[in-house]
Amino acid sequence: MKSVQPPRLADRFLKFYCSSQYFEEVQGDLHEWFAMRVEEKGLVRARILYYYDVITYIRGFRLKRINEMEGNNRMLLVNYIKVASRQFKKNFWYSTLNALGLTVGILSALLISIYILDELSFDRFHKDSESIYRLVNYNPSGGDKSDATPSPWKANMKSTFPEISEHTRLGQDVVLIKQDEQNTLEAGFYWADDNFMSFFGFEVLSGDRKQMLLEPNSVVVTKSKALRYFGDVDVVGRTLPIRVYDGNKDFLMKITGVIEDVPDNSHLQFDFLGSMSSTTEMYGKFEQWWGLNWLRSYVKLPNDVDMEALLKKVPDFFERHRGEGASQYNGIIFQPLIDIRLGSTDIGGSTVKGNKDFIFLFGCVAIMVLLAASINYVNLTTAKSSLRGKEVGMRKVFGSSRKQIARQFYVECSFQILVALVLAVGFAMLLLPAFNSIVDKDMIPQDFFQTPVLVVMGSVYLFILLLAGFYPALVMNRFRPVDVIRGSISGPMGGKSWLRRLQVLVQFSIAAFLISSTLIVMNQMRHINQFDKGFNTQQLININVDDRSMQKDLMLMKQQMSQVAGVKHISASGEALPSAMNFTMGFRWEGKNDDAKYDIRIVAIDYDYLKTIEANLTIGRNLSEKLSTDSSQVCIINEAALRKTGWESIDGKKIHLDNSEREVVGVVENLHYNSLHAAVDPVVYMIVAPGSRASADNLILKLETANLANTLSGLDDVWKSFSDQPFDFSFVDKSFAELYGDENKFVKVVIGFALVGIFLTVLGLVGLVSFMAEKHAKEISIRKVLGAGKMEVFSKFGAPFFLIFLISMVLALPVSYLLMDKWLQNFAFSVKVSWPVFLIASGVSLFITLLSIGSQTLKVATSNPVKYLSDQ
Amino acid sequence: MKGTHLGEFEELVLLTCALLVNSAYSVTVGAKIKEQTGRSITLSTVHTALFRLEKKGFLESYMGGTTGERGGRRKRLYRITASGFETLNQAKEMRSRMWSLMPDYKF
Repeated sequence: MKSVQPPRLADRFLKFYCSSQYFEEVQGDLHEWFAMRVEEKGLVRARILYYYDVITYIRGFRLKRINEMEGNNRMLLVNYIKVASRQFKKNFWYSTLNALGLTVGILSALLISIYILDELSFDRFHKDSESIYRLVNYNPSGGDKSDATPSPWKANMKSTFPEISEHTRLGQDVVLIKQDEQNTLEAGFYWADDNFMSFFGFEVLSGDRKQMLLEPNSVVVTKSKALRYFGDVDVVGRTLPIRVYDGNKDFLMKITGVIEDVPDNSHLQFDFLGSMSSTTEMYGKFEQWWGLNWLRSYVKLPNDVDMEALLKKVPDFFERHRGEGASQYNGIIFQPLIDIRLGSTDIGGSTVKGNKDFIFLFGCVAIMVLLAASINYVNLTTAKSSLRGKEVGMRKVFGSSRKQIARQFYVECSFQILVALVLAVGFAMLLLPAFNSIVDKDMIPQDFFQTPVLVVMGSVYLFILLLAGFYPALVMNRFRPVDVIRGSISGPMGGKSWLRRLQVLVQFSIAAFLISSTLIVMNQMRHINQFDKGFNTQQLININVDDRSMQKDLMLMKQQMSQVAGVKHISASGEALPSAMNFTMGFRWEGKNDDAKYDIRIVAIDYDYLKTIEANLTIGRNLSEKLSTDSSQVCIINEAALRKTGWESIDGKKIHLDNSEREVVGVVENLHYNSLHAAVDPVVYMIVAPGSRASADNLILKLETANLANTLSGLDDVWKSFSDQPFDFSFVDKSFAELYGDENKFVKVVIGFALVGIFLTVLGLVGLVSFMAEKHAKEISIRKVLGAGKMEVFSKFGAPFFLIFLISMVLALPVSYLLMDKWLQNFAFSVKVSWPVFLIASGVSLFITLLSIGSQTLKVATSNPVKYLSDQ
Repeated sequence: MKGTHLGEFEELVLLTCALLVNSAYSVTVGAKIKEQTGRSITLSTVHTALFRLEKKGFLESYMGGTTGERGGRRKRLYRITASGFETLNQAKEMRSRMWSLMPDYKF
C-alpha cells in the first residue's frame, strides 16, 4: 500500500537529525501514529501533521551525536575549518577588513532595530491597550488639534456615545511640595479621575487600585518620589503638604497608593496623581465649563467599534450641547492609544512626541547600511574564493564530490558570518549605554533578543550565507579540474561578472542615497537653527510667574527688576517664549462678510514688549504710554492676522474679540512663537488689565552679555522679596533649541549611521577594485610593455565603473529626492530640496570611485612590469 | 529531591504504562491517554515523558522483537518499576488523604 506512506521528505529529515539510538523506535512509532491519523483525519491532514510530528520530535537527547556522523565528512569538517583559518591568515588584512565591515553593518542594524522597536512599543504595556483611545480636541474650521479637552465632555459624552465603556481624565497642575522647610516645584503632578488607575495598567506597589483616587485629598505617588520625600516605599497613609500654584491653595494630601515608576515607553509621564475630587473646591464649576481646555481624556471602546458611525455622531454631540453651528469649530478625534507616540506631531500638547517619518528614515538607513555591509562581504568573499580554483581542482582530483565542495564553501562562509554576528551582538551590548545616552532611552541588553530582532538577524544570516556561499559553491564547481590545474583557466571570472557589476551598482546607489539624504537633513536642521523667528532670542530670559497671588505685583516686580544692573529691557507678557499659545478668542473684523467663525490667539503685552524681543513693525506704530487709549482700546496684530482680514491698510480699522472691540494700530512681523513644525496663526498683541486668564504672567528680560552671573543673582534677590518659591527662569534661545531637542539628537544619530554606511560602501569599493587590479596585473603589465600609457590603463579600467556609476545616480537620486521631499513636508518651514545637494552627492561618489580605481590601477601601472610577469 | 518529582503529564503517562501490561510504548500510551482524557496528544511529548520517567527510574524499557508490523521496526516497550508503582501509590494516597480533609462545600 504505497498511498498511505508518510511523506518521504519528513522521514529523510528525521534520519538526518535523529540519533541512531532512537531512530528505529521513533520512526516506527511515528509511522504507526500516522496510520492511525490517516483513518481519523484523512490522508492529506495526516501527511501535514506528520511533518509537525517530526519537527516536534527534535529534542536535545535525540539529536545525532557528532561521532555518529559519516566518518569522512566529519574528518573533512575539521579540514574545512583548518583551511578557512589558513585562508584568513594568508589574507589577514583583507579578511579582517571584510569581517569588520560585516560586523559594523550588523551592529548598526542591531542598534537601529532595537531603537525602532522601542519606539513602536510605546503604550502597549496596558492591558487592552488596543481598545483605549485618546480624545483629541479638534477644530474643523481651523484645523487645530490639541490633547487638551473641555472638562464637561466626560459627563455629556456617555449619552451620545454609548460605545464608550470607560472614560478617564487627568490634568496637569504645577505644585509646590513643602517639606522640611524646603519647597520643591513638581511639574509631574496631575489631577486624575477616580477610575484612572483601574483604566490604565500602571503597576501598583501598595494600595487598592480601585479606591486610591476616590476620596478628596488623596494622592498616589511613584516609587522614586516616595523614596525622594520619605526615604521609604511603604508610605501609604502618610501625608504630603502641597501648594497648588495656579489656584494658590494649600492641601494636605493623604497618600493612598504607591505605584512603580511610569515606564519610559509610556506617553503619559507623571510622578503624582491627585484625586480629581479634591479640585472641585478650588476650581469650582469647572465640570460645566466648556471653554476650559485643560484635561486630557481617554476612553475605552469595544474592539469591534464602528469608527465611522462614531465620528458621524460627533457633530450632533456639539449641536446638542453647545448650540447650533457649534460643530463647525468643535470636533473630536478618537486617536488610538498605541498611535499616540508616533502619530501626534500635529497635535498640540506637552507630551514628548516621536515622529513616524524619523523612524521611517532611520529604518531606511538601517536597511541601507546592512545591505551595504552584506554586499561588501559577498563581493569580497566571492572575489577571493574565485582565486581558489587550484584548491578546488585538487580536491576534485582526490575524489571530492561536488556536494562536498559546495559544503566546504558553505561551512567556511557560515562560520565567518557567525563570528561576525556574535561580535556584532557583543559590541552592541558594549555600546548600548553610550547609544542610550545619545538617543535618551533606557534600553537593556535583553532587548537584542526580542523575536523581531532575532528573526531579522536570522534572515540576514541566511541571506548573506546564500549569496556569499552560492557563487563559489556553484560556479567553482563547474570547472573541470584538469583545466584549472593546468592553468588554462586562471579563475572562473568570466561570465558571472554581471552579478558583480550589479552589486557595485547597488553599492553606488546606496552611497549616493545616503550622502544626498544626509546633506538634506543637515540643511534642514541648519535652516531651523538659523531661521529668522521675527525676533531676537539671544540673551533673552523668560521668568514664569505661575502663582496667581504674585501676578498683581507683577508691575512692581518688573519695575524693581529693571533697576538691576545688566538688564537692558524688561517686559511683561501673557505668554512665555516659546509657547503653544492656548488662549484664544472669537475673531471678527471690519469688512468680514461670511459666517465662518475664526479664532485669534491673544498675547498680553506691555509697552516694552516689542522693544525687548526686538521685533519689527511692518505697518503702523507701537503701543505708547503717552496715549491713554492705548492701554484698553488698541491692539497690534501679526501679519497672519492681517492676511486673514484681507485689508489693504489698517487705518482706523477695528477687530472684534468675542464681544469687545479694538482698533488696530500696528502690524508686526510673524513671530515664530513655537517650533517650525507649526505654522504661525493669527495673533493679537495688546494690553490686558490684570485679573483675567489672559493677563500677563511672564516677565521677559533682555540682558547684557557681560556679568551675567551678577545680573541673575540681582534678579534672584528681587524675586526673593516677592515670593517664597524658587526663582525659576529659562533662556529663550535654549528653550527654542529644546523644542527640537529630540530631533536634533536624532538627526545626529541618523547622520552617524549614514556615515557608517558611506564608509562601508567605500570600503567595499576599494577592496573590490584592488582585487580586480591585482587580478588583472598581468594584463596591465603586458599592455604597458606594449606601450600603453598610465591614462590608457586607467581609462580602460575606469570606464565600466563610470557607466555603472551613471546608472546608479539615475536610480538613486530620484528615490532620495522623493523620500526626502516627503520627510521635509513635516516642517511648516522647510528648505527646498536643491539640485546642488545632488550634485555634491554624485560628486563625492565620483571622487571616491576615481580615487579608489585610480590608486589601485596606478599602483600596478606604475610598478615594474617584470614584478607581475616574472612568475610565468 | 530534584529528579524524582512527578509532573502532572508524567503521572498520567506513568499510570497509563501501568495499565498497559506488556504493550506500553509511545503509540499505545498516547492513544490510551487520548481515549481516556480526550486531550490532543503530541507523540513526541509522550516519548519525551517516557524517556524522562525511565531516567528517574520509574520505568524500565526493553526492545520488542521484530514483527510484521510497521515495516519490521522494533518497538521500545516500557514496564513500570517497583519505585514507579510506589510513587504512583504515594501520589494517590496523598490525594485521598487531602480529599478526606475536604470541608463540605455547597455551591
